[in-house]
Amino acid sequence: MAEEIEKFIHFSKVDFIDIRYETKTETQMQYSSKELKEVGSNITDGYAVRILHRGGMAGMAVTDFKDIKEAIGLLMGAARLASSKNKKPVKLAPAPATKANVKPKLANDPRKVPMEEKLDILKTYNGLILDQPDIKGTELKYFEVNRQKHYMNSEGTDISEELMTVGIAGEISAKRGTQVRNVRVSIGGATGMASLLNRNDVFVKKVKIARKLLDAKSIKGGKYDVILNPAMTGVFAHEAFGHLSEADGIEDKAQFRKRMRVGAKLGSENITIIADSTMPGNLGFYRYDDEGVAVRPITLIEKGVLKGRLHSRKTAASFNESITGHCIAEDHGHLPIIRMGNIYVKPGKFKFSELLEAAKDGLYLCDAKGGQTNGENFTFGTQYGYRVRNGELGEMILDTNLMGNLFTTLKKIRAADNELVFCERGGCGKGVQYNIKSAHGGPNMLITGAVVGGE
Amino acid sequence: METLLRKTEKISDESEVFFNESRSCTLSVENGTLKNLGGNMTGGYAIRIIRKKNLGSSYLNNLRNREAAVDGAVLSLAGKVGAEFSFPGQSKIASIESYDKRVESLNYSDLLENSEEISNYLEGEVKGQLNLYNGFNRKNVRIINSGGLDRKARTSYVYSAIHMIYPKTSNGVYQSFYSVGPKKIKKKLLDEILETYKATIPTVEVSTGNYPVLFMTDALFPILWRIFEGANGKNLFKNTSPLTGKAGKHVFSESISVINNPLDTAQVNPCAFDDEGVSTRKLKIIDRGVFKSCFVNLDYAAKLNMKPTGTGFRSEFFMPGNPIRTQPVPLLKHMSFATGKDKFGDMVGSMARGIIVSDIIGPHSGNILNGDFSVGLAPGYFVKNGEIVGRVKDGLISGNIYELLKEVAGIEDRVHFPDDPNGNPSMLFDGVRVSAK
Repeated sequence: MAEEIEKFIHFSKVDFIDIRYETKTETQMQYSSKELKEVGSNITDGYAVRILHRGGMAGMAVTDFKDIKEAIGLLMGAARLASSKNKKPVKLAPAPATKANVKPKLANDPRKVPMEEKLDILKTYNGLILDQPDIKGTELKYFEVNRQKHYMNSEGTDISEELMTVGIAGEISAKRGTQVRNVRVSIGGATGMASLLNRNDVFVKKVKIARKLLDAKSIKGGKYDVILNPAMTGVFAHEAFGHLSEADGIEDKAQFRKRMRVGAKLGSENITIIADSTMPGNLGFYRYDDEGVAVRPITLIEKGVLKGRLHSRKTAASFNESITGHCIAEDHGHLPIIRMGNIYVKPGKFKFSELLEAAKDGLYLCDAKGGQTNGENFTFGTQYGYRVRNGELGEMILDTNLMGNLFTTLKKIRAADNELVFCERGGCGKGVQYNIKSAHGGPNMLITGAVVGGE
Repeated sequence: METLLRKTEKISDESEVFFNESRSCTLSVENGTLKNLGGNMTGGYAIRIIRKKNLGSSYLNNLRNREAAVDGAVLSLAGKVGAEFSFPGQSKIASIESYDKRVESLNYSDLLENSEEISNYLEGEVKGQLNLYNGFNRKNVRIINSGGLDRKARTSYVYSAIHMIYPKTSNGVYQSFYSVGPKKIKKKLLDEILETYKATIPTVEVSTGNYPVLFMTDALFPILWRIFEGANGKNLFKNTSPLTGKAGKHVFSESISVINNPLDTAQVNPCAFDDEGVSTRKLKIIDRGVFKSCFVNLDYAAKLNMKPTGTGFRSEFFMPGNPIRTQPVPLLKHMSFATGKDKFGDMVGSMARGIIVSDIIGPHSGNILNGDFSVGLAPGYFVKNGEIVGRVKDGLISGNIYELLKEVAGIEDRVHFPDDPNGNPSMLFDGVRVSAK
């Protein structure tokens, strides 16, 4: 296959072309309460082709090799159209021609574990949950995704990289009368099967929370001083700020781009956000993005000041900034777009008890339940929380949502404690793509005057 | 495809092959720059086999290695996933045409021309920034099974989306339009969107409290999602739905009806059969406040001892995903509220201090199964003495649909934006909790 791709690249009469051929192996097993709903392992493959010609850029995802020629023809027309209409030609920031072959380091390779053994692990955790009082349902899934990517471009880059993600994740429902309460649970990561073994404590803890939620009450909606737990802080970094640090989101928003200039003071002294996909063992780890660029750690905000952003080669050229290696596709069915790999808030110097004291009368919000941004506004859900009264944790409160404006909220960050916890399962939808390796983390963090939904 | 079916027939009691192929082109014009010229030429096959009441499945995206896919399906039988159902046989189904041949000759230039027509019309009017998104898609679906079923459908759609961004922000008024083939957006609709945009450039700080709230089409999505989960045969079977035991009973106000009508050709991607080959039909989920019918795929139809409802699709409710990689689940793809009797202008005019929610963020957050919602206004317009005076700064609305839908203050007499893929009438509720400053 590599030789055939090389021929296409060699004979294409364009200024730049890249082709990513990828095989994806997915193993899935799923329980819906006591019922096993799915068991299977499948392999698919395909190509993502991009060209840059006379300043116009276009790309297409293609399943069948025989369609690549037709796709390139269509893309040539599209590139010509773009070059004739746009005053400013598209340029790609320079990237070194690289040859590499990267294999993941796994503690117990999931591919060597028999299907029956994986199913048994899933079944045991599912049974453990369902055996508890008040628990009426589970949706629990084992997933194993192996991407084998082979990226080649007309500048001589030729990189193979393999990425393995494995996990067990789902939802636990407790029910009493017509009241249904649910929490999410997940274990796993990028290190192999070891991350799935001997993890009963995680499931037992979540079952306890789901049951306790049956007696919890809603809070009154309004403004509160809130402490986010590490999982929530990670989602805050991702939703509230991370997406705006993806340069493709602001590249052609002229007025907004000025606000997001490097050096702009956006937040309080207490917030530093870093994107780092080079941490071995982290869910968001990879070596090269889907443009063949080596990923590097980027400080996005340091003590409230914008220091950098995440780039593709195109946006790096447009902003006249250095390449960062953050152009990632979901799989062979998609073109790469700018993505967070692993984003986190840098821990502070305080103890958790000091955050509680500082919050005095507020909320401690725990574990994320989905989030979304439409630019500078964000929202994200919490699975449960606690009232904070007189600087101490009080009763449990029901799941709620937090909403805010990035620029106002970054200024209200008062403190972070000295913990640093990374998620075991990530995931982020952008456009029609879902990135399962989008990871996040952080400490407990205090924000004053946050808008929280409720009764 | 037939060869693949024959191979599966040899190793099973029943088998099915599903095929899906998609071709699309997209582009956007952001602040006058033509970008994101992309598309796909993708497809694939999914297999399901039943042997001794156990289900096996696999998928592949080309027919180079049929044997591996058949082996994969056999391997998955080892999990002993129960299958109490049979694949349907061939039967007569409604004839639906949702394909416009003109889409075959569309290209990037046509998409750009459409964008330019809109931007020329709006030139100089959008003070912030105008972004336009255009695309078209052609899809072929075929399902064959060992019972002799052979269903084929081809569909097409063309879409345009307009995003008028407020000055110095990245937020704005967004509206999308879908049609089966090339179709110009009516100037009247563009004028309406523009008028709303202009009126909502100022921001308004709103105090936390209860307000009358008018939900427009896209803002009703989280409400419909929670009804979807409540009426889902899977959740009723698991006894985790608040609608368990409520069939035939009043659960909402009498003015509320929720319909799923895949045969309505005015909707995006109508279909005469689902992804299991079962014929589709108009389904009343909620009829004048009464919980009328749940919906199922073949699996849950058998489990709940009911007839299939033609709602087994290879998709997710929120993010559709790749149909080849997704097993058929109970899914409503054509779900909407029935229209009422109220004029949009009258409902706006009736609000002394209220909020119109144009769109929301965060529909997937919160306790969906319980009916709870808590979503950000994106944007929400503030109404004072019946007039839109600006957009709400940092607001969030929350509640529970099983409480909210007991009292409805008004339902629009038409689908507000007929070509919106979430085509719904706007709905007015009193006393919705708004959290803000």
